[in-house]
Amino acid sequence: MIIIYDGLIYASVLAVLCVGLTLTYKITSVPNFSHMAFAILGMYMALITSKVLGLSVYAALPLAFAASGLVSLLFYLAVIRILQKKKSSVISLIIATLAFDIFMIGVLNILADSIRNGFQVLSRDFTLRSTDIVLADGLPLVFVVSIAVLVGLALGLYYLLYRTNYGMRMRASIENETLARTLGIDTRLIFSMSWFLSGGLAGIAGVLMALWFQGDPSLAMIMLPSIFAGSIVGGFTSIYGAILGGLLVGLSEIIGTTALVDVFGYWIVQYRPIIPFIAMIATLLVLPGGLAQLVTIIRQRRLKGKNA
Amino acid sequence: MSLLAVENLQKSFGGLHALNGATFDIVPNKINLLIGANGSGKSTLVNTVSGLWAPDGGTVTLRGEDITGLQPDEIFHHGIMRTFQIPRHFANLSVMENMLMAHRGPGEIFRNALTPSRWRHFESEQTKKAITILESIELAHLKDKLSFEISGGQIKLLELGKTLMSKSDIIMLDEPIAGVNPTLALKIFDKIRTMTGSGITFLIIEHRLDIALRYADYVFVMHEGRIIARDKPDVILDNEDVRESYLGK
Repeated sequence: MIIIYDGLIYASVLAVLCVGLTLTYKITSVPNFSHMAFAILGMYMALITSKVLGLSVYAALPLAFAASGLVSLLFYLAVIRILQKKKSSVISLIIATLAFDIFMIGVLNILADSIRNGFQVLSRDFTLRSTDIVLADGLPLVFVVSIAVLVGLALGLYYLLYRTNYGMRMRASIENETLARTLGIDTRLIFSMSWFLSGGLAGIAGVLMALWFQGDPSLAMIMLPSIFAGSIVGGFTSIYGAILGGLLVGLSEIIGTTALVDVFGYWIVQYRPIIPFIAMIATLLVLPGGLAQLVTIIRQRRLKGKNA
Repeated sequence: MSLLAVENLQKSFGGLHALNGATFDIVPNKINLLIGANGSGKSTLVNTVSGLWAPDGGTVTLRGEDITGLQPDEIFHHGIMRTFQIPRHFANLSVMENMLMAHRGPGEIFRNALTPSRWRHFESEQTKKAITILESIELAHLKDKLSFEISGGQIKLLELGKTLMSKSDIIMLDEPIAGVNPTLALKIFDKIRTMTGSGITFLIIEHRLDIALRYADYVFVMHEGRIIARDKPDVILDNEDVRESYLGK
């Protein structure tokens, strides 16, 4: 059972993170290397809520959403938007996000130490698994919640993007910013919203992670390859591609590592990032557009079949 | 008070003075045709007035209100709409959605997206209006098509439909009939003519003078970033300077 819990919780959380990363990339064309830091901030919000305030970890979900969302929004307004106004290249933007990641890791380390010193709470490599509610048959609540969050996110984004006027404006702004602006759309607001949403989602993912895995500021770098791999497998342009990519990479990371341990022994665990890297390289070589490209190819074939 | 007045507008790119003191006053409820050789600054003028580019100097006033340097979305909400030389549309949105995008109303806000009761009624009203307009430009049967599936001529018509949808007072068209067959071109200008009747003012850049001059009420001639002449079409055609600078005769 434990491998199913490990696999599905990790995969769902990864998928939520991939959606956020893809969202800001698709809407503002920034590959955000500091995305994981927003999730770690969410993890520490969970730790504070549970161990310092003594509340249920689930109470941290709105708190983490707001905190990570705000940090993400501030980073966008104070750094990214100014660089974009100066027509900085994608490389400069990537370096800016990397720099912010390093800065955030520093902040998170200070936060971790302050929690330990101020409240005598274990704040590194911590897990809140023992505080989680266990449902019937030893089923942990976080398992249900992480899958529910992912499904809710998929349905919610579909509703927002394709069933509301606001969503239509968002899609229009993504496709042609200049035209959208000349049609009266305040694209700056839409871009800011996407950063807030992306950061907020990462915060939620962080809370869920803290309930099953170990949290530490160093995860901000360790998990980065996985969320990029998931997004790239998904095509980096499609929200649904990101969900599928995240699930695929997440599951193969857990199942693959377990299989490798069976064959080679436990020492192989530290080479776990090789799995997302292989997924990323294979996708870029074989299908650079990821799963989204696959869908387009299938659709075109079908159209051709219809016309023939 | 004039409707739209541009005073001494300046815009340079490096050493190139694309706008070099352009000054003019648009004639309300008329077709104002803007002509000039390539590089004379026509598109720059439209881009600067519509807020895409901030001017280096000068002012743009709308009914006496200074709108210089406002953002494009703010300019749109002031009732000025523009189209582009190479027609721009949202290729992955349907024809209907493209129409709805052009509606100028109380800006849709995120909070409302989650409560359908706040916008559903409003949206069905807009949809009805869009269908009426699409029928008048003979695009109604294509309303659910994604707009990358429709032809170039139909996209030009869609652009016109969008301007109708926007309820703008001033519409700036950048070459509305470029690359369009003569029959459709006449149809487009006929439509523009009827729109001026309902109180819409046009500023049109067009190179196909054979057709455009038939419809223009006033002609503005641009040369080296300045308006060098403004008059009725027949007077303009007799003007020495204009012939020399533009018509090359």
